[in-house]
Amino acid sequence: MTAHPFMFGPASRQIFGIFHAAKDAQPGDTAVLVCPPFGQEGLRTHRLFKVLAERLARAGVATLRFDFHGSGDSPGDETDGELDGWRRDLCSAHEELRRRAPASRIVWVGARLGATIAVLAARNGRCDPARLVLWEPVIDGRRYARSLREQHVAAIDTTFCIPDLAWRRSLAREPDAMPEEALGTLLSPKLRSQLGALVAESLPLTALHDTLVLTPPGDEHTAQWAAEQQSRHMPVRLAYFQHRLDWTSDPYPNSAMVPAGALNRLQGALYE
Amino acid sequence: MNDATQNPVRFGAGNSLVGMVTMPTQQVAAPVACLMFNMGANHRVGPRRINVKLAHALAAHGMASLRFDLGGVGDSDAFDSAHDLQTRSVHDLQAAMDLLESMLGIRQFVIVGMCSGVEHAVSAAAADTRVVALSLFDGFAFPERRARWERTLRRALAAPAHPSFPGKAKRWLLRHLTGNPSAKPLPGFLTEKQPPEIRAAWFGATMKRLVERKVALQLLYSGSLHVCDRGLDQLGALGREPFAKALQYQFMRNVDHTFCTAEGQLRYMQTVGDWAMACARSASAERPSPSPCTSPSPATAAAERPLRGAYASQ
Repeated sequence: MTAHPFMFGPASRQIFGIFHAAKDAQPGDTAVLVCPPFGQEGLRTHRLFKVLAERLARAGVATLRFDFHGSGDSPGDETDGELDGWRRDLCSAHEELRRRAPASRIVWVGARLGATIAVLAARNGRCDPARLVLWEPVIDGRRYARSLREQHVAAIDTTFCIPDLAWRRSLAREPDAMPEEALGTLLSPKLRSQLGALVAESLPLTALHDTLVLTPPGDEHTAQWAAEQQSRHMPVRLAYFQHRLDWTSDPYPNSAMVPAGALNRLQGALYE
Repeated sequence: MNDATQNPVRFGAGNSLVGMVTMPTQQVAAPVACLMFNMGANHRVGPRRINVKLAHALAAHGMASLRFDLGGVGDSDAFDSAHDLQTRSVHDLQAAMDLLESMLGIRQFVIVGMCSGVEHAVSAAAADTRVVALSLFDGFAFPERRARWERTLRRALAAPAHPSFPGKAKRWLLRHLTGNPSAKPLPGFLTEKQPPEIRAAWFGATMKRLVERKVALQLLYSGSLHVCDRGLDQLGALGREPFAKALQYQFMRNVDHTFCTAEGQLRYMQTVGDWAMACARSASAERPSPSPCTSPSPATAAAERPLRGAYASQ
């Protein structure tokens, strides 16, 4: 089974996608839309989602992977990147998958900021996912931005023999400042503003789909958000999941790029 | 981005390779196109998406490009298992040239190779006369004693105050004292290791032939990997060879190996982009119709055979 790379979406905002057709597809089967993370996390998980898509296709699950505008292979500059546009990209991708797998129940598998965009996109009613699988969603934009900054400073420290300490000093001086760049990706002013305003209250789930949240043990922030959604009688379940994937590192020996545990967990998450 | 159109493609043996052709929209494409591919295990967009950014910049100046995944890397399938990695990579690069030749009629190419990709780029240039220019980032390096000592001394002086020193020291101790296999780097990440003298001999001989063939050569070295440089330091004894005068050599002190900062990305793209466009202008003026790939004589074929594992991670 050969994956098919193509462009889709409106002419003014083309998006790159790669479609993995299902082997022996039947009407009513499941199809999966992968919502990738932002920046370096997106590059880091490319291979994982490629292998996941191949595995799903072999199991009869059509899968569409895509890159948000200004990321990966999609056109656009990073300075154009912001949540509203990416939310629309996700809905375009959903419509494209619906066109290619018309009778399928569509599940969105989102990771990190991709999971957050999935929550935002599922609320607008334009697209109809049957289930959201949210792998370590970003619930607190400021906390996420700070973590990106810390990882950026750590990467500079690790790579240079004599690192530019201005990065570290800036982090110490203004720990809550929103970064203009992180790990090789620029953050547009609008994205910085949106991340600054992103809090648990801005991510209410709907009852139009069920939701499975995967988060590492000890992530109380995400657990609390999921509990709040349950208290609103939303069909959401939280499952703890520990894995060996380093979200932000470069590929290097002895660092798992496609941890088998993550593959198995995500595949199982489609049905449980 | 209105300066370019993007065309996803599958090509190569068994349609196993996946890539993206980027073409200029505002002007006729230059008669030289650029090829970009994987650095290590990064997929075709390159570390920090640098290949996409470079492709857009080149398209804005009128140069078409193809970025793609070698077989078995990124989205490409591992179709050819009959040859070693180096030979497969040359075949893949030649398939990329064939594609652009059939799509756009372009028969001259600049190859941009980074890190592990440098060896593949050099081997492809040696094997195929359609390659008129090579940009090589953090590839072959043979620093001599003085340069090695200076690098080591600078690292040692910086180490105690270095924020990541405790972590690095712990990993070094684990690797050297406990014999913990999980702390040891894998041998020849994505390549096979070869003795330095064999790599240097092959690299020197190939560079000499490429210079004689008037292939433009740009050698770039990052400050993060190589620390310091007093001019051609990374070439060692090869820097004193006559062919070295024809190289465009640059040590990029503020650029790191994987382009972690926007400043580093900008410097790299400016350096490579300007040079590639200059090569395109020069090649189109001097070599309006290069001869297609021809079979080399047996002696040349042996000398130009890709070196297996010529690159070793540093």
